Amino acid sequence: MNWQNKSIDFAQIKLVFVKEMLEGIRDYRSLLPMIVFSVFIGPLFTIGVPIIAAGQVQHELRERFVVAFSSPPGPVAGYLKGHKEFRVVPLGELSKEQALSEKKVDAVIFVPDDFSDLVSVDVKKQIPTLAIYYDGKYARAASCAARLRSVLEYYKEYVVKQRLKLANIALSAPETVYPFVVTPTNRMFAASPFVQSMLVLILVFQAFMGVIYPSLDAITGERERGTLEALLSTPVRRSHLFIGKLAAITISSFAVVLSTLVGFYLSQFIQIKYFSFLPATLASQLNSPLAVGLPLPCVILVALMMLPLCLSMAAAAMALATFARTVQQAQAYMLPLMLITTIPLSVMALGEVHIDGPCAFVPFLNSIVAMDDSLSGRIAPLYMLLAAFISTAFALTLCTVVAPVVDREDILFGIEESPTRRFFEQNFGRELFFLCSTVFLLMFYLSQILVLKHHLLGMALTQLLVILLPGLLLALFWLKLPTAAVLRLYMPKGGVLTLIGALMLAPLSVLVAGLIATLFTRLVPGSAALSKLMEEYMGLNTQPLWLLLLVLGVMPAVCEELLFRGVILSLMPKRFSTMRRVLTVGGMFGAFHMSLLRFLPTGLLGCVLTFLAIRTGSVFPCMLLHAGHNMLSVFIAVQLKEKIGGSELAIGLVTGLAGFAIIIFAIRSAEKKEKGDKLEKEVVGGT
Amino acid sequence: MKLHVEKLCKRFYEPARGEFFACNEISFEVGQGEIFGLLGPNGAGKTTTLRVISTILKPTSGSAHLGDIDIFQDPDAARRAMGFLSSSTGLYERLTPREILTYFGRLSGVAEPVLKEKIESLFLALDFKQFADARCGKLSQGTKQKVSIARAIIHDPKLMIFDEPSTGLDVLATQSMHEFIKQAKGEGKCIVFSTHIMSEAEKLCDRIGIINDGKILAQGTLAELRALTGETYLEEVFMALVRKYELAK
Repeated sequence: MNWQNKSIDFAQIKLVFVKEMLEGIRDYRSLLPMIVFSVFIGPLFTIGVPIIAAGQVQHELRERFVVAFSSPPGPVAGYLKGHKEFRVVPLGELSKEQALSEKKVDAVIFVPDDFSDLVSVDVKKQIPTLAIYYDGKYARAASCAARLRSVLEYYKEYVVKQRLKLANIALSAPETVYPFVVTPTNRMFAASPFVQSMLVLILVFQAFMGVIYPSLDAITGERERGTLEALLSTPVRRSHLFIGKLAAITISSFAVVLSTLVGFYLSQFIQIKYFSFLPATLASQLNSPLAVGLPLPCVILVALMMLPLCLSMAAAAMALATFARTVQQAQAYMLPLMLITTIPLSVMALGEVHIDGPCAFVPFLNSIVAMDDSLSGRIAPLYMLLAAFISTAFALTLCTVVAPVVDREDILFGIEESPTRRFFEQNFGRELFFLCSTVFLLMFYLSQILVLKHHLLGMALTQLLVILLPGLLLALFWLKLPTAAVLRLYMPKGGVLTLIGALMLAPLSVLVAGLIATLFTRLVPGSAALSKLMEEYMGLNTQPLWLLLLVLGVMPAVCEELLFRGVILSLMPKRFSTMRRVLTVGGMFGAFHMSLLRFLPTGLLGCVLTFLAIRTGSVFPCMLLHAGHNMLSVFIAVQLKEKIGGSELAIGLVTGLAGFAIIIFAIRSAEKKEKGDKLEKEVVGGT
Repeated sequence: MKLHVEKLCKRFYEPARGEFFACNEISFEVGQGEIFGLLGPNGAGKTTTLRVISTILKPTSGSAHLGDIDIFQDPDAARRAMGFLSSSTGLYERLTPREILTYFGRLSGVAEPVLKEKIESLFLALDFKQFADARCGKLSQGTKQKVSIARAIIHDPKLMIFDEPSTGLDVLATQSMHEFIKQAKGEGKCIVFSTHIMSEAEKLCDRIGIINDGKILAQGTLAELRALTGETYLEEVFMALVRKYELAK
């Protein structure tokens, strides 16, 4: 196949896109409710909530709380008269318990005999307390008691002032506390708090709703209706088919988001009109918490931030739909997508999360956080652009990865290979895809939360739960593969010498990684700050060295090696050449560290480790090299404070080269011996 | 251009049945201007054979060439040179026949002025011009099938593969479809055609391959098949071959 065939044919993509759009628009019975009803979500919240709130306030004004005194009321009754929400009635013959349980009154106030608002003769005497009795079963009684309590708090203040006055104690008033409302600098870009509090959730939900139906229709529907078969017999490229459909599904989701935004934008004018009909005091009371302020620039910015989210959601929905044989199945598959989109929302609930860090690299989270930031007028254009770029790259990569699945025979026609044959031919593509996506998703979300919350302990938990557990579960319990073979728990070719050689490679690998990282730090601004932040999170300067070496050195070496050089490498299709396996596993190892800064050094190390595992047939040399590399890096960071001199460089270089030589020698002699043994056997067998 | 299929095998697996061959060493040739019919009962392996040849399924083993094109090695080139219609292919219900033909024509790389002409000529040849701009969802079964046929051959392929094209058609529609296939034969196309209807095979095909249980039991012209079995009617020919196969098993 020549290079020209591999280039992108935009005309083909456009064709697919236009056809999908045309089909989508013609299905107005599905599309119209999605878009038209979305317009009404804004007004529903922004007018509906104030209407309910106004009703509540008016209701409270009309329905006064009924209060009685179980003792002579004294001066308190006079004070309560000033509060219109309470109506004081006599208790009469009833006991306070009877009156409360028969709902004659909402609350009963008990005023002690010696309660007085004047100065007590004996200053040291215990000050008598007022008591409020209410029936906890009734919500109304509870709210009455709560109101009474806050009113009587003011009364207490009044009493204190009275007493001080009578005692002739000069009272200098404390400085008045006054809350100042600080408006954001980018007022044109910021929405009001009411809108900020709910718009993110609503838009994410709408974007999700906007991808479900079109992705089901365009992927699984096409398969179910038999049109996919016709399409697959044309020369259209699978990836182009996917990208064309991706564009159409993204537009559909974006249309739903836009109509929701339009609804919100317009509803602010309707709300102003509505408030103008209300009594002025009520309107102002409702206005401060419930006002819809959504300036046009803010709407535009939010829309721009939503576009990458719609794109990545569309890609994820399509990917899921691709694995379903029927529309019903595909509907069930959408549940994980819902989880993926709700996780960023809960990450945001953790507190101050902004689009100014590694978060720009996490699909879904980056767009959602960027949108939240733009609603509060916090604009970081570079990171927002980066987030959009990452989301687009994520969507296109997902499409390319999933496109070959579209003509998979097992999904298209239910044609399977027998499990025995799959085992024999080592055809575990599906399981491998499942494992890798699970680990990557867990790394994206669970691991970040664990590390952010529990620092070093979180790192240890990540190693055990996110990295080690899924691989072992899949290989040993689901596929039931032989433990030693799949994890390569064998003595390496070349024996102890190979192990020593592998350990000796560690200083050199640290040097190379350090060199790449230094180069990268110069190229990418902010990466130094990022590694500094990571150091702080890991507690490099606070935790004891042995613990750091254990959690950052030994644990990753064991867990990551068992996953990457054990399970993943063993499940790679047999048809892959050594080079392809080295590059795939190494690249995955690099990507799995979730850091642009660390991708190259870790990817390179991953390639070396994979090659070592294939060549020696064992995971142990990889564990040793990995542990040596990590422990040395930690040691340099903590003890040497990153200061490395010429002598260290020389030692690293020499031991590294010696390590290489030892490994090559050990493997060669082991192979020679093997050959000799074989020959001998043949000769012996011959005679 | 000649279609040459050699020892084509496709293995299936079903938990209840275990492994089996849906097509088992199928070999045949179809020349230019020739109609080859695959005749067999349901589940004989007709559709699987045709799906493998049209590159929708990957063969377990065997080869297929269309002229110089190795179909399994260069599927894209093969797809440009062949049109496939299966009994289960559907249409986009919300698009019109004209839109569907334009879409598939463009996807297959037909040049724009040629495409317009081709679409018009197909409307006339298959006689559904009056429905050209109606939504496919509203069309009758017969017209839908005509649109499907037009869709499969919009790019003027050298090889036409029709899998049970008369399924669900009434007499008139079947008749007009037969006319069309004959016309295509006249234009020098290679045509592979599967059916379980004996009379259809008898009427249309130059040569017939009798397929059962994934294997071609016999192939040749009707006269050759008659001579082979000593029977007159195709139905009897078919039954004789199946009986012989069952006995041999």
